[in-house]
Amino acid sequence: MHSASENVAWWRRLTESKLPAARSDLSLKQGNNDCQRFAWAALDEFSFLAFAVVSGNGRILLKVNAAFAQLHGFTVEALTGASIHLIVKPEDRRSLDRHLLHANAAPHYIYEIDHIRNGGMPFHAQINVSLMVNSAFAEVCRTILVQDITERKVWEGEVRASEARFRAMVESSSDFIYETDSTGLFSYTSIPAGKKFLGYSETELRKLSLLDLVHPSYRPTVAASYRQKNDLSTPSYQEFPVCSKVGDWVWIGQKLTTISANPLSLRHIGSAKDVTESKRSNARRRKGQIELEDLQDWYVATQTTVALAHELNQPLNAVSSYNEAALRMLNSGNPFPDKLQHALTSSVQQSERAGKVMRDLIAFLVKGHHPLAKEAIDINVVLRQTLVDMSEEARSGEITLVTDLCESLRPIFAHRLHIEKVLCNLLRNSVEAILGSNLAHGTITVTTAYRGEFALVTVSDSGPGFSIGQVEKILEPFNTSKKRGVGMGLPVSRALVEAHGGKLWAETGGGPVFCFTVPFAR
Amino acid sequence: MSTPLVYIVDDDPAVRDSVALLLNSAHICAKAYCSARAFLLDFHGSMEGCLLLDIRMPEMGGPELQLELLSRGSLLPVIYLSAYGDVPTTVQAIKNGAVDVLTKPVNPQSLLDNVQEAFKLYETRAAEQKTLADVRRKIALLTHREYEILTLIVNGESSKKVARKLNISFRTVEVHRTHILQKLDVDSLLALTAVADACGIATGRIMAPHSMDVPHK
Repeated sequence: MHSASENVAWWRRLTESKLPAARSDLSLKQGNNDCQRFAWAALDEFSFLAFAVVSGNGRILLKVNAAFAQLHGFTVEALTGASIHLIVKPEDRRSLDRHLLHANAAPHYIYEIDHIRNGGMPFHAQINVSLMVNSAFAEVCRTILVQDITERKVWEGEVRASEARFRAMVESSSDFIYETDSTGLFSYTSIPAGKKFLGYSETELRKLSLLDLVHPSYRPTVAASYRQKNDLSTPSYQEFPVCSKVGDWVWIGQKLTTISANPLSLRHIGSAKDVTESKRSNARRRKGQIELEDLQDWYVATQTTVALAHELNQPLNAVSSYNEAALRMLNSGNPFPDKLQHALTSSVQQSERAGKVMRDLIAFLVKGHHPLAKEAIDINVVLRQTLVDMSEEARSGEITLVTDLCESLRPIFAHRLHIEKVLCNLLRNSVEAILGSNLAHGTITVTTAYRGEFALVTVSDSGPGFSIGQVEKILEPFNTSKKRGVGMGLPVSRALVEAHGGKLWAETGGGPVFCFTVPFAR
Repeated sequence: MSTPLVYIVDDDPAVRDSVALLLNSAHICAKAYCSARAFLLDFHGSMEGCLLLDIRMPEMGGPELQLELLSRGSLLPVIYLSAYGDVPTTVQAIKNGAVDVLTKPVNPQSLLDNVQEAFKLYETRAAEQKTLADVRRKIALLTHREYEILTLIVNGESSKKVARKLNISFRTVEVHRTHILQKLDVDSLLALTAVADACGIATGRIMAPHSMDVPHK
């Protein structure tokens, strides 16, 4: 449907260009011209539009169409030549005068006023007034187009009320709620929460992009989320640190929903919670957990070693004693050959006993180990998840995690948990190498690539590294630089990788690099 | 002294057998027990030699057995065998007076050396014990009055003072004193003091022999 002003324009084109003959002769006063009748017939065709021609001062209805009469509950005849006051609510006459003053001074004017129907029933009306210069009229006259906007008024009122309710909710929410475009510029922010979270006032925030406040290492991922569409059903959720006005890093958890998905003018509603405290307690809990795991590893290793030492040292002690006894007997001329034979036979038996201890232990360990449930997995996905898990630890030392992943990498055939463990061990190793070196910050670089039929993963760090001599030893058990480490992380990782048919090794080039390969799924 | 024995207490039969054979090959007699309980059943005060104890044994470990034997007045020196170098247990064993704690597998020569050392230690302890028993036996021969006078004399009192203290004549004290020297088989005041010292009389640590009814002062 056309808008009211468009309709008026259309009618004017009709009278001025399509009916050139009528234009010169049109005379409503005479009322007998064919063209004039034709024009009015055309006008009446817009039976759904209430249309009238009024005198130059806007007060006398010169001509009305059927729709106009019907809208106001009168006959066409009753309204023709009537004062406009007939259809305006008496209380609104003063405001009508004011509007007419404006209307008479301009070629176009739109105003709203309460009209009344014949029975006295008022309704909200929107009036479009247009100047009509036509030689047919003795004086200047105007066209008016009346629309019943009661429904729209009610609807607008409801919208306003609901907007007010919504705003009240938003403003009283403890969450920081904002509207942004695809560059993160704020077009609306909830004032109290924004002030509380970031210390900025609304005007200050309007000049900012949220991206300016985001920690540089998180900026690319956050920026990416503003450039994509996030469904209402699945809003994107991200946690990242932002800089407050006083320079503190505040961790916020941002839920982003796209409200306008037009790719040229993406708009999102973001709601953010302050998650700094929970992040901190998570970090503490995580740290405690790692310490506990270390302690448990240490305890298990100690107990295992003690048990093993006991089981091995008994037969070894016997072997040593039997052999010394045998030597002494031989040195003294072997006076008791039976005893010598007993000593040597027993010595052999005890050696075998020692061997059996080891065999039994290995058999025990193998029995308790379930065969690997391998599946085709995307190592990049596992890697990213592990990096997210590790990012908290990395952050504590201002460590930047850099990835250079081969996105076209085929899926590998592996046990997900084992690959996670290997990645976690290598990453933690690097984090601890950097933290242990007392460097304020460092970088860990992770790459994936093709290496024949294997996926190659490398983890390198800017830590102090190790010498060529250390490379040989670094994968051996009990080789640790940590205070309470058992030195099993790398040997265990190597065993896990080898169980998958891959290899794990260390290199020293520019810096320390750990590499491992895992075969692709067939 | 009869032939000293090495009493081996270890729950591992191979260790018992091999160590016994090693000791035999070095002409040392050994007797092996499979547990602390088995040894305690056999234990008597006239055992001579030393103990070779495993630290970790089921039911009763080496250190517990050592404490039990000390409370029974055993003089047998103890050498420990440990399957692993557990520092706290080692320290405790040494504090309890062990000769040494040897970690399995034990160097055979080091074991033999330790056994010899333990035997010597036993001899010394036995000799001391014998002297002490001798002196005690002699002191038991003293009369109440003589013991009283001995206590005063070794505490540095002169005969005159003793006489005044006990309200007896100087002569009588001198007679008692001669009897004491005779009974304790010593010829000088210095030797007397040494004997009394061995029994702890001078310091009052050990009271009179049990046979004598000495009132506490």
